[in-house]
Amino acid sequence: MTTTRLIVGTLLCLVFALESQARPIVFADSTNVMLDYREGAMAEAQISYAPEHWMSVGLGYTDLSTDYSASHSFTYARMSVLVKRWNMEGAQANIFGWGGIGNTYIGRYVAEFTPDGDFNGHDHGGPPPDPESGVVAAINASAYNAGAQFDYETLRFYSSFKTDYVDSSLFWHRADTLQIGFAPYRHDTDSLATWFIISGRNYAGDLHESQELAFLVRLFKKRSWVEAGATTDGKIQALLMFNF
Amino acid sequence: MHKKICIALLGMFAAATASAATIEMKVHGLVCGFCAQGVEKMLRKNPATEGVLVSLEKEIVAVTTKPGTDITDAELTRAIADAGYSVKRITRTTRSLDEVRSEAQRSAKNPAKK
Repeated sequence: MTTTRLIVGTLLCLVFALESQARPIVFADSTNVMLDYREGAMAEAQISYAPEHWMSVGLGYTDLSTDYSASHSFTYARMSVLVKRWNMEGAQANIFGWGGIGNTYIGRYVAEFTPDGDFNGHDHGGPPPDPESGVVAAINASAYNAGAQFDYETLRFYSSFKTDYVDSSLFWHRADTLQIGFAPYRHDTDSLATWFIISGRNYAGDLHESQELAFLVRLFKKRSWVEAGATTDGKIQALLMFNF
Repeated sequence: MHKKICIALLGMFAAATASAATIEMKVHGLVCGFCAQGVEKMLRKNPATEGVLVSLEKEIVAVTTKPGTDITDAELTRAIADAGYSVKRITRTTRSLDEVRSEAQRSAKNPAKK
């Protein structure tokens, strides 16, 4: 790992904020497609290409509007960097950093009048609601994001911590995720890998201020990755990933 | 004259035998199927590569080369490093890729006998 790479990765972590996926870079000369759904919190689609094992570039769309009357979303271009990898006997640990730029969007919605004549749900600094109908026009704003992830895994144990951050003049949003996983058996190259994952997540920012605990089953074989489960309050989570 | 021909034939036989051998590498950091794909994809970029086997269970990467070709230790180490992993040992054996695969599968089924 060169010093330049270390500096670039560190700067990305410091200058930008965060976003997540199972692993930001899968392997060199690979294209990765990912769909991630977390009921009540977010839905995301992402495509990325890794020319080297230590970096990837990609495009993505995150819908953060699930709990809101108005559509909230973030569209982005991103670069991810493997800051440091430790290859050990039967184990691997990584530090990833990523950052990007994009656009946040809040769709048209109707703000509610309060008894004192003000409007509920209009605090993003965009155009004011129509004084009679309460309609607020859709608005866009440029945004940046950044993220980091540390993970450690063997053929039977998986752990990771990651933090994602998006910021714009419309809203900011951060998700911190801790995952611990256990595999009931050791898998090999051509066999199906099965993992049981406990995932704890903290949401912060203008859109979500909450915590969740989810239990997931993760399966992957060759180029495909499927993950599904639910939070303790019954909300569905699912992730599909394909590499080619 | 006959002696020179014999030496030349022996040399050709030795070269052919060497190129047909399997190269086995002990590689650290292989913990998932995606790791295996990355290693295989990188090794297959070398035109001399004929077959690749990655055993996560045994942390072994085995390569066979096309007849009359070879891949140097330096090239192998660089390819594995470019894939993001670390080569700890390289050995050249007379075992076929199938034999390496069979042993890896036996080892996976009977981990105590590794």
